[in-house]
This record gives sequence, C-alpha cells and structure tokens, in this order.
Amino acid sequence: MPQSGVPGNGAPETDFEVVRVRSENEEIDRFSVQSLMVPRRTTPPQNAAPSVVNKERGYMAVTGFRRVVLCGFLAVSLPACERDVPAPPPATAESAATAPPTKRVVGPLSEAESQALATMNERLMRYLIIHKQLEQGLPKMPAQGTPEQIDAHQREFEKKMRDARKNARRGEIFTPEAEPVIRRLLAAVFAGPDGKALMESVMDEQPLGIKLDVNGRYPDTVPVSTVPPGILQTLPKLTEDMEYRFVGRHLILLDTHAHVIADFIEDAIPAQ
Amino acid sequence: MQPLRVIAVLVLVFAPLLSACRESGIASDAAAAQPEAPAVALPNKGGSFKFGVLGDFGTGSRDQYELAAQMNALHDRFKYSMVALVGDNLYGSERPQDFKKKFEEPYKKLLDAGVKFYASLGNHDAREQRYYKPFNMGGNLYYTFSPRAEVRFFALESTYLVPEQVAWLEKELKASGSHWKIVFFHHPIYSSGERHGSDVKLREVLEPLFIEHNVSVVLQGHDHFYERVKPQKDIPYFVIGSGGKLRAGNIDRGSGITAKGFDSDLAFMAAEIDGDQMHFNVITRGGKIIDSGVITRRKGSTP
Repeated sequence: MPQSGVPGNGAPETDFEVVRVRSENEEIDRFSVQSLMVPRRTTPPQNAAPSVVNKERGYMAVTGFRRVVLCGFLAVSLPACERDVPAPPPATAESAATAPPTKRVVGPLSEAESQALATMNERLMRYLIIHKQLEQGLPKMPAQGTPEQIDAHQREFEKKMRDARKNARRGEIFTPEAEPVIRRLLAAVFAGPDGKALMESVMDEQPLGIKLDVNGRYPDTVPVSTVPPGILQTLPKLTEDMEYRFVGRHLILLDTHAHVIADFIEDAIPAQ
Repeated sequence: MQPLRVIAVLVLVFAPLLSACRESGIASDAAAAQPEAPAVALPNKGGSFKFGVLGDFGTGSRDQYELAAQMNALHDRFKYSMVALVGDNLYGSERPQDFKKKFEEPYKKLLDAGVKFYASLGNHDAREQRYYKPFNMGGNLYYTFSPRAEVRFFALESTYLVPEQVAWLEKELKASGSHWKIVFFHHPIYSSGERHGSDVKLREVLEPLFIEHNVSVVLQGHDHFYERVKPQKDIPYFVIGSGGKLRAGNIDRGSGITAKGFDSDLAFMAAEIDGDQMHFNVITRGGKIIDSGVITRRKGSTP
C-alpha cells in the first residue's frame, strides 16, 4: 500500500509518522491519529520523565506501555475503519451515464486516475479514524434525542474535530492527484445534454461569493445544495458521515456530524 | 334598530371582508388567538386513517403560528393521528430554542394529543434532525413506516439521492404489500413553481420506480405554495410547501400541469383514507378549504 502521506509523492507533508501495525495476518500501513501522535523522533529527551508529556516541546514519550496501547487502539480501529470505508473505484471504461440509478460507476477511469482516487480514499480513511475516535469519546447520540442533546453533541464534536485538525490544509483529502480526476468526472456530467438542468438543480438557493475554510464550520445560514443523483453516481462512494455538497461552484466534503468542511475543490463545477 | 340586529348586520357585512383579507395573506390578530374552526368536508368516519401534510413551515413567524392554530382547531373535530412533513422543518438557526419556537410551541396541542410527526429533510434542515424524537426518523435520513396495515409511507432524502437510497427505495416499494403507498420528500419532481419548479433529474430516477411499484400518492414541498398537479402517468402529485413561508403569486399559470393552485396564503392538507379512497381538504390560515377531492388508489399489481 502506498504511503501517500510521505513527502515526495505530491501529498502535503504532515507531522505524523507511518505506523505499521500487524493485524491478524495482514500488515496495515497507516498514519496515526493526531491525538495518539507518534513523533518522528521516538527517543525521549534525557530529562523527560517516562510516559509524560513534555509541554515545552509538545512531545509525548512513547514507552513500551504506550506502544501497546497505541498498537491495540490502531489494531482495533483501523480494520473497523477499513470495513466502513468503501473500496476505491477500479479503473473502468464504463461511465455513470449509461448505468441504472441504483448503480455507482466512477468512470471512465484510467489506472493512474484509479490510483489517484485510491489515495483520496486512504486520506478519507485517515480522516475517519480521527472522526470515529472523537465520536466514541462523546456520549452516544440517542436515536430519539432532545434538541439540547443534539445541539450539545454536535457542537462538542465540531470543537473536537476542529481542534484535532487545526493545521488541516486544502488538498489533504482531495489530493492534488485526485482533484483533476474529480473535476473531469464532474465536467463530463455537466457537459451532457442535461447540464443546464443539473446546474439549475445544484445552484438552487446557493449563494455566490461564500468564503470557505478547510476545517471551518459549514455556514449555518447557507442551505445545503441538492446533489443530483447523476453526480452522486459518478463520484467515489463516501461513508454515511461524509457528504459531497456544493457551495456556489465549489465542491465541498462535508462532515455531516461535525458540521465541518473537511476539504473542498474550488470552482469544481465548470463555468457554463 | 335593536342592538342584536345591529350586531347581526355588522357580522354579515364584515365577515366576508375579513375572510378576503385572510385569503390574500393579511391576517388579523383574532385569527391567531381564536381561529375559526375549519370546515370538515371529509367523510370523517370512525375507523378510517386520518393524517395531515405540512411543508416548509419552520419559520417561527406569526403566519406559521396562525396556520398551526388551524391545524390544532381541526384536530378537535377531525382526529388525525399523524402529520407527514415534506421538509424545511426549521429555517435558519437550529439551536434548542429554535426547535421550541419553530416546532414545539406552534404544534404543542397536537404533540400533547399524541399526534405523531414524521419528517423528511429539506435543503434548510440540518442532518441532526433525524435524531430529534418528535420527528420520528429513528436516526435515519430515509425510512419507511406503516401506521396501518393497508397504508405505508416512504420518506426520502431528496437533496442527496445516492444510488444506495434509490436501491433501498426500490427494494422497499417492491416488498410492500400495502394498498396505499405514499411517498413524501422535499424537492418536487412535478411543480409549477417559478422559483423552483420540477426537478427533472430527480424525476428521471424516481418516477419509473413510482410507476413500476404502484405508488398511490406523492407529497412534496420546496415551492412555497399549494398545488395539486394533474395526475402524471396516473399518479397524483401534490406540492404542499405552504406551511410557513408563502411565495405569493409564484405558480406558473402556463405550466399546463396544474389541476389546482393556490399561492395567496399558507395552507396545509388534511387527508383521510377509507378503503380504496383518499379524501383530502386543503385548509388555509383563515380556515377556508381551498381544495378538496377524492383519489382512488391505483390498483396495478397490488391486490
């Protein structure tokens, strides 16, 4: 599996180190979550007490015990995330235009484009690891809640998510390799005979000129855009926690539980 | 002239004027305080299934409260057990106080009486509404429920119709043996709204399923008026986005699909299923019935 977070492959450099975890008979390469961050230099400073955080350097000493806890957490959470995150789309000559509405066809896709979307998928999984870990730390949202419970849960989750990704930048999920593929897939849909109707559907009640921030709260005053079925058919599948939405002509990746914009592509809808 | 006669003459003179004001969207304070009991022209039979339909309502405005007062008043005489919400349940902020002001207070009497509200989400609704107990969504963005053996409702999330939702709908419609299959969602696939109108992309996906699986009635919102659309491929469609935020004069009279349109006041629908027939009244803030009729269920392949 490519280590897509490693500088040199076009992905943004991160502060995280690849953690290798053996889970049953399979080896998984993943980035650790920020709250369980393993620093690149794992040798603790001489004056640091074992198993404590050195506040001056923001450095967490990783003792044998912490390693066990960390590996245990990742061994449990990563395979769970893998189960939740859909497989990345394969290379295909098919397109959604001729597929039934019950079928998702991300294509046509070359091998290189498929690989680019696999990288995006991997970044999404990394995001979801943080998301799930933080969500598990909150009281479980009842299926039948009060407004107070719903509001408190959502705002606490938003705060934790934004804190955990305070250094997030555009392109961390819609990677530089994946972005042109997404643009091309969207352009193919909008260039079709129904492009005008699609555009009307998407832009319905959408304000222009909204400034977006990665890791920012989705603006409460902006209604969510419709994302027509034909567009959802051709974009890579997401988990239930995440949605593609448009704000003006920008495509955003919305964390619907945290109300946070996880990433976005500027002017993803081609100018008509 | 005796005082009683004077009062009678005044009532006769001013009652039609007051009614006209309400229809044109000018509400009196009296309407909010003590609404006239709306007329009930349905069969109103014991044992029939009675429900309401409301859409685009959650503004917290006086207009919304006035229409809610009519819904409350109707319930005194027409015991409907549930209300299907066709989306845009809360506009703007969705803090706890907004749930109270825009939903719990105006419909308190109905909620206290045990009337259940079943929500679908519109483009102004946060996804968390699915966890809100009085909306009965059970944490789902789309879901189905059967309040009676012969009736089944299907609530869709029309802003985000992923292939998985389409596959789910197909499976559920196919599996349902209910005589009445009623689908409700926010974005209309048939509407004469000049502001929004028909979502033809959504229609391409949903309409074939409705036809194939013998859907009886489709309830929609988004356009802020009431419209009964002429049956399309034998299926009746309603736009009932008139629950709290009127878009006056927005019906395109030249669309050719309107059987009845009303865009000069807020309105909700009261409906009653009795055997193979669904009776409906559409009632304004002033308590006036502006549309009524009977739909006979499509029989298709369902016994």
